Amino acid sequence: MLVIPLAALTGCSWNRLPDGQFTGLDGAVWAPDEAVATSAGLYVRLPYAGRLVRIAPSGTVDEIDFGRARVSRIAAAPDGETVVAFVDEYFCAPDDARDLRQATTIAGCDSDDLTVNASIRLVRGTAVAGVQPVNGAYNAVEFSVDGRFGVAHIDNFDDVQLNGVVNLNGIAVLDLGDDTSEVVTVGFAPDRVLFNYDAAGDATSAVVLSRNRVASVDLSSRPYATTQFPLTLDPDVVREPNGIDLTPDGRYALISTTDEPDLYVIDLVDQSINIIDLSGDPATLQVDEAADRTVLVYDDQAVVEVMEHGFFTVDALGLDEAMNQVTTIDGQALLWGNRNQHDLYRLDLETRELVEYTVQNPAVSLHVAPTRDFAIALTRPENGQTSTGVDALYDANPGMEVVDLLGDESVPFLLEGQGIGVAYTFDEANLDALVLQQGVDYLLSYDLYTGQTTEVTLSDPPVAIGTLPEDGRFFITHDTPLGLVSFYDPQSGDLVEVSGFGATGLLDPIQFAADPEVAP
Amino acid sequence: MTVLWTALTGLAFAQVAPPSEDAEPAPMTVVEPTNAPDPEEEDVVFVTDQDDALTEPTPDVPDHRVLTLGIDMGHQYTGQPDYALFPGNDLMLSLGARVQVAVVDRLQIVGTWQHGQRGAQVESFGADDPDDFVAALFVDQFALGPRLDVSIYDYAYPYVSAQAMLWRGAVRLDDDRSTTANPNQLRNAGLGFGGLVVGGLEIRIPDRWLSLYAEFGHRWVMRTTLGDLGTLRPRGYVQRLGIAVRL
Repeated sequence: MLVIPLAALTGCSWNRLPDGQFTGLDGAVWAPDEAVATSAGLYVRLPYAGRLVRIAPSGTVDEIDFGRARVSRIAAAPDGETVVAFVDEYFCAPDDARDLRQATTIAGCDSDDLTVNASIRLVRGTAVAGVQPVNGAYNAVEFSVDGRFGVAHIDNFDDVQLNGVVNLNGIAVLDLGDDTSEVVTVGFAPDRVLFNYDAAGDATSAVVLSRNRVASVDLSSRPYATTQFPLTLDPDVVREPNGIDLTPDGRYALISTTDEPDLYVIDLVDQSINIIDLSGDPATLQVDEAADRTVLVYDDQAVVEVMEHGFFTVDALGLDEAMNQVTTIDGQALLWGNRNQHDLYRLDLETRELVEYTVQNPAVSLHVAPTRDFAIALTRPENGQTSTGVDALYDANPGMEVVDLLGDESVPFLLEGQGIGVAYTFDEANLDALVLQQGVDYLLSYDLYTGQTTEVTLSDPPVAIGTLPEDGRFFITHDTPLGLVSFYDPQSGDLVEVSGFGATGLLDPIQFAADPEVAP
Repeated sequence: MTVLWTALTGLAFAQVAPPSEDAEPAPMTVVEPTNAPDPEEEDVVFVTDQDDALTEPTPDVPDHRVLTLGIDMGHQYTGQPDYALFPGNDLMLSLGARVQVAVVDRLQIVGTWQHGQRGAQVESFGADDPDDFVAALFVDQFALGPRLDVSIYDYAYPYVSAQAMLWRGAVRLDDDRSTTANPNQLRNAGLGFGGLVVGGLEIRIPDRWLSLYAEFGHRWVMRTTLGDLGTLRPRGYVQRLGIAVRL
C-alpha cells in the first residue's frame, strides 16, 4: 500500500515538468561575460542571487562566503591570485511598523528607509580578506601592475548607486599591502587612472584624469600628496579628456581632449604643461615603449601621426582611409578601424615603413598572436547591395582575416557565426588560434603555421574565452541560463564541463544584511 | 491521477478487522411474556432486558465503523518570497488521501498525505540576451495526529486535529526542454518537520458509510534546505474538501 504514494514522490519525467506559469527574475542568473580567472580558478558572479562562486578546472564549485552582502561587481588584480569584489549590504528601517510587512525584499523597502553600505573585499582562493569601506557610487577599480595599489572610481555614470552624499571629485586609493584606504580629491568626475613605476617595477604614483584637470597622486606619502594640473584657466571652458598615456620614463603624461586639436604634455616632475598642435581631435593615442613614440590616429582624417618624446615633434603620414584604432607591438603599430574601413596598416615606428593590408569586411576586433608574427581580425557582414559573386558572399557573412605581420598578405575566411573571441596556444613549433563564434557550438582551432583547422565540439554556443593564469588551459563560458563553463586543454584536447552552478542561491537571493526593523 | 485512483481503490478493498475474541458478548435474556402468543402458533422471539417492558425504547447501538478512508483536494498558501520561482496566485493545489482510525468514542488517529506541484517558465531580465528555464516544485506532506469530534444529531461532526508533519520538497530546473540530455537538468530535494492544526466539519450520509468533510487550518514547517538552491519555509493556511468511506 505504501508503494503507490511513494511512487508518486518521484514526480514527473523531465519531459513533463509543470510549466503553466510565467515569471521573471530581476537580474540575470549568472554573468558569463564577466568571468574572472586567477590561478585558483574561474570566478563567476551570480547577479540575481547576489553571490560569487569559484569554479576549479577539476569541476568543483565553491561559493565564496560574504555573509549577507550582495556582490555587485568583480575584477581581477594583476597578481593573478586576487579577485576584488564590490559588495553591498542593504538595511531597511521603516518608520512605520506596518511597513515592515512589505519590507521582505529590497524592492519592497521604501527608498527613504533603505541604507546601503558598500565595501571592497579581496578574495584569494575561497577566503575573503581585507574589507575596505568605500562609497557605493564607485563602480570601477584600476590596479597597479605590481598588485599593491588599487584606485576605485566612478567609471560608468549611468550605473551609479547613490546613497548619501557622494564626492564626485574624489577617488579611493586602496593599499592592498596594509589593507588601508583613503579618499583623495583629484578633480571633477575622475574616470581614467594610470600608474607610474620605478626601476624595480613598484608603483610610485597614480595619474588620474578628470574634467578640466589631471592629478598626480604620490603613492609613497601618507596621507597621499596630490599635484593637480588644470587643462584650462577659464572656468567657463570645459576640457573633457578622452585619451591619456604615459611616456616610458613616466615623466610625461600625454592627454588629448574632445573636440580640440591639442595634445597636453604634462611634465610630472617639473610640473609644467606644454600644448602640442595636432591635425585634429585624435580618436586614439597610444605610446609604444619599445620605440619610445606616441601614435595618434583620427576619425575624420586619413593620416597617422608619430610623435617622439624628446622635443615632441610630430610626423604625419598619409593613409588611404582614416583609422580609429591603434595596437602597438614592440616598435610597430597596427592601425585599423572598427567602422567601415577595409584597410589595415602596419607601421614601423623607427623607419616609418608603412605596409597596407586589405580586408574583405570591416573589422570588429583585432587579436595579435603572442609570437607577434600573426594577427587575426574578426570581421562583420556589411551591406553590399551592389556586390556580386564572391564579394557578395563575403559581404553577407562574418569572417576572419589572418594577417601576416612578417609580410604583406592577409588571408580571408568566412565564419559560420560572428567571431566573438580569439585565444592563442603556442609552443616552439606550433601556433594555434582558438576562435569563438556566436551561436555556434564548436571551437574552431586554426593552425597558423600549417593552415589546418579542427573543431572542438561544445555543449552550447560560447560567450567568452580566456586563459587560466599559470595553467595553460582555457576557459569558455556558454550561453545557458543555469550556467555552463568549459575548461579546454589544447595539449591533451580534454574538455571538462562544469554546469548548474547558476542555481546556487536561486531560492533565497540575498536581500538584507540584517532583518528589517522599525527605525528608532 | 491514475496513481491516486489506484491507491484509493486498493484502500477501499481493505478488510475491517474482526471484533476481538476477548470481548464479552452483551448479556441477553429471553423472557416469555405473559400475554405472548402461543409459541406453537408464532415463531417469534422477543429479546429484551428482563427488567424492561416490551414498550421501552431501544437504546442506541454503538457505531462500530472504526476505519475511515478519504480523498481530498485543496489549497496551500505559498505567498512567501521563497516561492518567487513558482508563481501561482499564492496558492498551490494539493491532492491527498487520509486514513483515520477510531481509538475511543470521539477520538481518532488520522494520517494524511498531500501532494502538490507547480511550475513556471522563468525568464531572467537584466541579461543582454534573456534566457528562460523551467522551474518545478513538487511537495509531499505526511501528517499524523489525533482528531477530536463531537456529534450533532448524528449527522454533523465538527472536529479539530493537530498533527505532526513531515514535509518533502523537490525542485527541478531545466534550461533546455528540447533535449533530455542537457547538463543543466538539476534536481534538489529536502526534508523538513513541522506541524498542522486544522478544524473542520464532517457530514455523514445516512447509514453512515459515506461522509463529506471540509477543513481549514494552518501549517508550519521548519526552514528546509534544498541543496545549493537555497531554502524554503512552508507556512500558511490550508484548506481541503474531501469524501470518505467509513468501514
